[in-house]
Amino acid sequence: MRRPVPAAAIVWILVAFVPTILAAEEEDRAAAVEVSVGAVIASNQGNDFDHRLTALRRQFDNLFSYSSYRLVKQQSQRVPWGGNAGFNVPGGPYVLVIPREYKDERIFMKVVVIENSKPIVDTLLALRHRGTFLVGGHRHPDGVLILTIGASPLPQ
Amino acid sequence: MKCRDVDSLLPLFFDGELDARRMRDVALHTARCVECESELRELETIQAHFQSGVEATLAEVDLDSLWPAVERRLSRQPPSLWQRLRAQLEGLAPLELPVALPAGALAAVAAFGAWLMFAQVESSGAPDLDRIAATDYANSLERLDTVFESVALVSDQNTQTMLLWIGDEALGVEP
Repeated sequence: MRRPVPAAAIVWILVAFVPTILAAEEEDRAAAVEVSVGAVIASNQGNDFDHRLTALRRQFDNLFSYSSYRLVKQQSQRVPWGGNAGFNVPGGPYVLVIPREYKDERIFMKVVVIENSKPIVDTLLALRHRGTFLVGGHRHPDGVLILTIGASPLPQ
Repeated sequence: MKCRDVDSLLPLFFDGELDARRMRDVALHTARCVECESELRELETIQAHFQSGVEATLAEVDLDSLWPAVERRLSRQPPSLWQRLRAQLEGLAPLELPVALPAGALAAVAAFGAWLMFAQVESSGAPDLDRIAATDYANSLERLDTVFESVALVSDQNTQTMLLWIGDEALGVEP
């Protein structure tokens, strides 16, 4: 004969796990968008194409004529809408991305590029889902810096 | 990119028919070269003159007499299908009605079935205009503040990429 599960045990399980489950759901809801920023050094020294940039090769070929592309840093952050995602570029500026809203399949975001504590680019833009925003032309000791910025809304 | 190269590309640039890379190159060059910029201004002036010429021609067209002419043609339209069918039914003898009514009902059912089929094809094949309007929005720059005097913005629709080129760095622009 099966022993009945004591009511106290059920209550204990609920008390122990429900807050954890709710907290996890809250975290998922808060992390509404994934922002990714990459720093690429482009130059005409050599013919190396960083294999980690394969997904961007078509964009680079269409827009630039550099012979060499090297990924210096790639970083992603999950932030809520209206939150800040900050990225440090080695030997370069600080990039701040603030995703604002997702509307008509476009991500509206603010991008600020800061150098020596001063904003050198401050822009509001709308980027199509899976679209890429490139900020290029900034001088870098090894060539020209190209920032790749993208954002993907996370499922609710 | 040299002035002579830009000169041949300016009309295409003005009409937005260049690829993204050449668009950027021409934009960068005209931002720095006074002569090429003035060429671009001349193209804009020609376009403005052309537009004003078209508008002047349109202004000479007498649109007041257009609607009376349309009304005259409307009054000459033949009777509709329903009007003709009704006239036919009214002309039928009482003995012909038991045959005509089921035939008419059958035709109506066939027509309704055809309409249903057509409506299904249309709902699966025809574009949803609201959806197109929503998905056809391209990348866009809403506002830009920068310390750089020279910037260029290039949008490559093929790869859904928008490039903001800042500063006067031209390394790599030339192959």
